[in-house]
Amino acid sequence: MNGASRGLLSSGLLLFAIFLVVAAGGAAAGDIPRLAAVAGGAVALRAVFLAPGLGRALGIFAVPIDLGASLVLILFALSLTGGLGSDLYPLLLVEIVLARLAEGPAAGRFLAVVATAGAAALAIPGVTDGAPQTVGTVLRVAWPAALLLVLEVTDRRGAPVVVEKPSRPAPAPAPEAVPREAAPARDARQELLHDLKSPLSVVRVYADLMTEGARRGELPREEHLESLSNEIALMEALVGVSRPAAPRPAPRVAPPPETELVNLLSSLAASYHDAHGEKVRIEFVADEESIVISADPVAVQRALRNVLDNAVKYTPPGGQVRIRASVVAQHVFVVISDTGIGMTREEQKRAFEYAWRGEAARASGTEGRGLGLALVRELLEKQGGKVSLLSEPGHGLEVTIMFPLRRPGAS
Amino acid sequence: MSAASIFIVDDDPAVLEAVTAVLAGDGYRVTGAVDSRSALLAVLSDPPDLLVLDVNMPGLNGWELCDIVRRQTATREVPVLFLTGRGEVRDQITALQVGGSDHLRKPFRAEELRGKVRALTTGARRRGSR
Amino acid sequence: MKPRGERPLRLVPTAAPGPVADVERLRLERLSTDAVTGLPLQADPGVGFERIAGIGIVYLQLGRFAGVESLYGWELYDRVLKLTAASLREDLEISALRSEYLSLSFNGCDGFCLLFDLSGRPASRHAALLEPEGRRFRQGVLRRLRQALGRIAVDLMNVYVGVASVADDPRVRPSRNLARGVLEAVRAAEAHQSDARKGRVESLKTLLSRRALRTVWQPVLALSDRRVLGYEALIRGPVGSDLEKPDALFTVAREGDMLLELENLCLETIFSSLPRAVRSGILFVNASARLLTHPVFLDERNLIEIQRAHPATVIEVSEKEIVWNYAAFREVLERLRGAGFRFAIDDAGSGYSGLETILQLRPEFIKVADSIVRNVHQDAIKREVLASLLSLGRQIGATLVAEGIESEDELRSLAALGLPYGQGFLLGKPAARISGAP
Repeated sequence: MNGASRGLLSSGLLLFAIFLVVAAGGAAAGDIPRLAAVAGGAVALRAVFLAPGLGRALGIFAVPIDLGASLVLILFALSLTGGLGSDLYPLLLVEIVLARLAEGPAAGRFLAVVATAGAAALAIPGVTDGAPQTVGTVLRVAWPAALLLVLEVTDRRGAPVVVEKPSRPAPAPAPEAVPREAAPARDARQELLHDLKSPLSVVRVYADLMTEGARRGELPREEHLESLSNEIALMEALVGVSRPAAPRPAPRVAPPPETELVNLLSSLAASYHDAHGEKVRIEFVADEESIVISADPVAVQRALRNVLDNAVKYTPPGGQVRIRASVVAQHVFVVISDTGIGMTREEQKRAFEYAWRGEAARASGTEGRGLGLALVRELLEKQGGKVSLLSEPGHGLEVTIMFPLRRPGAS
Repeated sequence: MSAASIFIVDDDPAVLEAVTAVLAGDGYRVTGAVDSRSALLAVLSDPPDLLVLDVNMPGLNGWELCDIVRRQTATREVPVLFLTGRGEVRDQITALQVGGSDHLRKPFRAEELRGKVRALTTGARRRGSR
Repeated sequence: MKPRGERPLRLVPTAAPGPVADVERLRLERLSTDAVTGLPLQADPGVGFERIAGIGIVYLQLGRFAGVESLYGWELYDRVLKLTAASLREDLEISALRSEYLSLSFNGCDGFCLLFDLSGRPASRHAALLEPEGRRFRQGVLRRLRQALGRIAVDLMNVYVGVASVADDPRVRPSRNLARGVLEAVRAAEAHQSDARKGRVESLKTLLSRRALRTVWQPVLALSDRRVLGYEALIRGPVGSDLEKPDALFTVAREGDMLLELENLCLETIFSSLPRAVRSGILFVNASARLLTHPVFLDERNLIEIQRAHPATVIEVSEKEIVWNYAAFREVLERLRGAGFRFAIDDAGSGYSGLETILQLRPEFIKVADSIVRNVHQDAIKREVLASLLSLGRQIGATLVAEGIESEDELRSLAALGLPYGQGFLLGKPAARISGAP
């Protein structure tokens, strides 16, 4: 039972006890003021018992007896003179007994019950009638007081610190009952924060170096700026800044990127043939033996695959997909044409927008997010190329990719 | 006095480059490795004046590497500086328990790095290990 | 693209993928050798041991070390192990069995195993040979530990010896034969230890049932005018007994799994006998993390009782205990402050956490560790540490108390720095009776 409900319960019992004592005393209607005073006094007593520090604060006695016993002695004295003291006195006993009933050693509790019974019995008029007045009075007040003092004294010897003995030894994992702070569960956010620390370190160091250099009047070094930019791109990628189809940050120690297109296209053609050769015919023609452009092979390949995927998807069985690579006036042209469903003029205009699929494409019932061509344009333009479309609805689509030819000796 | 040699191990090449940019600029001779096993072989055959170790590496992590290095006569006296991403107290103690000399928390500043490297290499020089 | 500048980083060639013989060997060595003692972690009698007719085993167990390591820290334990290993190596040189020596190994926490080739001696004589040697090794270890570490740790520790011998038996595999022999020696050592432990635990049980603890009080004084701020309550066992010092009490209590009962009795002892002089000032009481986070202690009625017994109670917890458990401690502090208690961090400045513990928990009192106060007048770095603690204390409203003041020089230095309060032998020894101000 916690403090609050115990308080309520004992207040209730106290009021009931007031009723009993007063009834046993045969109160008359004119006794109301007196009853009120008694009830008020009882409530005040209740409040005092809920504030244990008060006794010490009041510094009632130099000897360490607590408030309960102090009041017992005061009211004992008062009750001998009759008046309010003699009414409050039994109530005080009941109050102290109620407090003791909830806690304290078993012997204390037993004595408490005996004290209540004794006080109540002696409060009944007529019990002490036979004995001489003084004896009766003395018995009435002295005996419970003695019991209470015994209670107080025995209680002081008991445990002021109520830490119970554990009923069995502490369970195995707790020779310390304190759990070690467990290693934090690494959720995705933690992982991210952790992964950011390395690139952040790098960024910080280069920033410091460039600041120091600037103070000396030096320009930042090319490779520092590049590394800085790469790390920032990496951090952006980790944090999830969405750059649709952003190319991988330039490899740190890679030579300048270049792509040999003939090899690339012929291997692509071969793989598409393997995968889809039964559905559509794949054909590849190149005008030169080797065509090199200054572009990242991964990005270029990704763009080409997108185009080829579309071509195969939107060409009905029995059709054809043709890849042609040629060089004209220092420019490389790769044309991928199919005999598929094609696009209307309107659709061609909007083909490079995100998440858009043409009528025919939707009608054809095939899947696809419609990002394909937007992605292709982004990938290629970042590499310095261009892409355009030509189509007649129902007669296929022609995608033309253009790159400047890599100048020999350029790096 | 010839420049002190520093060996740095980190699985992220960008960190290697960045740390080199600072230390080489100050005149140290820097050698690096991205993988702890090659680092171990290199360090044992040619002990540096200071070993800078990332803690989180695949394969042999920084703690194990330091522990092994401490047990070999050739490298017993080489000071070890850890680069650690986590800052918990437990890690500082583990760094001491495996025989590390000091640690740097990421992200660190160029000046912090310089300070620790200077302190650890001067000590080594004074000990006359080279 | 412009060419890269000259790159000052030289990269070593990456090792071929797959296991590399040298690296694997080093990893294996690491796993099979103890870093602190340098000893192998497996009893290894060497190549060809299968042909040895009789192997003698002497096993030394460092007793009660779990307690010592968590009380005093891993650095002290490292020293103990190194000293023990060195002692054994030295004593081997002069041992009667020197020429029969095969190997010395460590079990990874508290046991050292010596193997000897006793094939030249009759089996009946093995025990008579091994036992005195075992005793000599034991005495040697104890002597060196006492010399190096003084009485602190050695009072808590003991070394237990067990011996065994195995004779070659063609029906039994030699490797298993040896392993069984080692286990037998370990068990013999443990039997000695457990008898001794039983005795100690029984003594503690008797002490607890007789409530035979007493409190001594050490005053905390203002450095400027020696005015008494309050007293720290320290527990003592019966005078002159093995359980007089609190470290001994707590180590045995840990062995016998009676820590909570011991702390319970400590608190009862303190609060049932508060002298008047203590009642008028602040009471400093030590408590462990285990007790403070125990739900029975934190129960409201209990806290009210303690407050009733002495309202100006400050609970001290060592910084070393807190450093692992900030979250748990913050909750505990809320409860305690709500009930009217104040809080002190003990041994401040001695742990690894720097000022973080203090910043996290904002105690009302900071008790500066002895180790920092010791010879502070000669050590500028310690004065720096004190200055930062003082400054921190001012910012968070904490009062500093310097512990372990033993000399006038230290006192002067501390007062000059502005430390308000202190305790220590110089200012007042812990005593059962409190006389007038020193």
